[in-house]
Amino acid sequence: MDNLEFGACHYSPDQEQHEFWMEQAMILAKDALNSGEVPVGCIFVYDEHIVAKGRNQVNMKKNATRHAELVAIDMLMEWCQMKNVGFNHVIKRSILYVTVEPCIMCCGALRHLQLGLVVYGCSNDRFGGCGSVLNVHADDLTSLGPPMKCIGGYFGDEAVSLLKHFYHGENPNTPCPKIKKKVHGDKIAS
Amino acid sequence: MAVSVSAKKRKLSDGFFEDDDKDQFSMYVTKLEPVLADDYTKGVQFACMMFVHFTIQKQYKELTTHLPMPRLQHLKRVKKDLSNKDHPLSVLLCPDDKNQSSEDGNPKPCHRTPSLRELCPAIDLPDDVVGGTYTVLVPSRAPLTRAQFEAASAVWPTTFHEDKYISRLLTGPILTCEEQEYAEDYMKFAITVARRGRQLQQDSAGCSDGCVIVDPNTKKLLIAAHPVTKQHPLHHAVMVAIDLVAKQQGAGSYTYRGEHLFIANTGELPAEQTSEKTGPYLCTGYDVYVTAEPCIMCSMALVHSRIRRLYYGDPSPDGALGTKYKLHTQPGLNHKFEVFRGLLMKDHTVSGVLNSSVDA
Ligand SMILES: [Zn+2]
Ligand SMILES: [Zn+2]
Repeated sequence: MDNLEFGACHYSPDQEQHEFWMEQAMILAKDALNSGEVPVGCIFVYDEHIVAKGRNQVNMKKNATRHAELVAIDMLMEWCQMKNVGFNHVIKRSILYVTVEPCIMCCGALRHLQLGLVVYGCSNDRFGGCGSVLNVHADDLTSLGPPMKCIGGYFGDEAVSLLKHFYHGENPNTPCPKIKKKVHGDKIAS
Repeated sequence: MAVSVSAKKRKLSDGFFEDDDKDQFSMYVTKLEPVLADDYTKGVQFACMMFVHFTIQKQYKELTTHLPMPRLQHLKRVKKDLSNKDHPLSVLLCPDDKNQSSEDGNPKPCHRTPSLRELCPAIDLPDDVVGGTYTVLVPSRAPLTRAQFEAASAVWPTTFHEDKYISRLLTGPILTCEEQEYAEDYMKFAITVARRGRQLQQDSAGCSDGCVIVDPNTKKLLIAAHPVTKQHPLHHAVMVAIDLVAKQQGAGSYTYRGEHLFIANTGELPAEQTSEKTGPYLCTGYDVYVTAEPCIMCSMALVHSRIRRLYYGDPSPDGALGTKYKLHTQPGLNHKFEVFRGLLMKDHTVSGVLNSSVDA
């Protein structure tokens, strides 16, 4: 477990593995949609295992900050307590797979915790903190520590299609091949 | 759990603040100022325009019909210069896209300004009416404040539609005496809760020490919270306060007990399930008081929560509501709110005196 240091000999999934993990996040996004929440889902992968998952719970909790990422962070903390491992140690060596680019709030939170890597699906033109609206992942913010690594574009079309279904009632099963990493929703809370 | 700081304000505050609390308020001073979008504080920005020297006011209509100026509507078309006897008028023609404005505010000539006949052969005016054509720098944006209007007018005659509300914020006073008294009382709650929080949570840290949420319509103080970062690194005061509002509305997700969280007013957490679920959507319309400028996470949490207004005391090095970002004015976001800073900020003249006396 301890040989997963990022920068040294950490777990670095290839394209195919990224896609496999993102599919797991996508299942959670669909679960959010079925529960009447903005369809965003995510998982934390540590030591080649899913150690936490989350999906949007804003409406259920009446709290606008209950985005998939923050829900999953809470679960990761519980996992660390259960396994008796240090949360800071684990999150620095974890990868977050999230269907939509983290918003400005979540990006600030994740960078504050010095997450190892974010892999996301579609970009978040309304609220995105990893480059779409602001560059919270990379801006010079001393209190948040070093920049955070982000990769986008895994199953972006599928993530957009879910969001469109939520906001415009479009069928997520109809393919929309024209959309590339563009979000057209009115409100996207990721 | 909601405390009304209205007619019984003094009594309630007196009961809440201990003598130690009251002493520490002397370290604070209010110098309220609005945190406005950069557009309101920027100096004059420039664009290159061509103009022509001209003699008679009457005939300049011939120019404006042939050369309408759909952009830069804030500029007056004609500038009078009575010292120029032959051509006392300067009339703007059109943007000069080939010339660039340079950094120092002077036009950087890259090409000769074309003559009026070259620019628009259709204009039919006698030669003695028209003088030379030139390129000049003009203000490129409509002025938003009186200061910007005065700076722009010194460059070229400019129109100004004054926003009375913005002018009042800039010239002050921002709040009436009564409003300021209320605002300071809410902030004193935030400072005091921060202090009680520190007693419970040593080494707890977050972007601000204390956060109070108020319904400005009823003047009710709904929630006061401090950071709980020892239990959870993301539970800054603002994040805790937002979840406590959700708890008041019958939901919420954080699970704190008395030993970790000092609950203002009643000493109890809001009931998990209340029969009345009449609260607004999230924190819509609420005012928030924080001791220091919130970080980017907390600031965006407040955007998501749709608050009406935020007051803070001191700026923070990585603050997102004025220092590193102005998230509350960020173009593209679906919600904006007002921010005022300097409400009960730490009085550095007082602490300076203290420090020097300690050193001596
Ligand atoms: Zn988010
Ligand atoms: Zn914060």
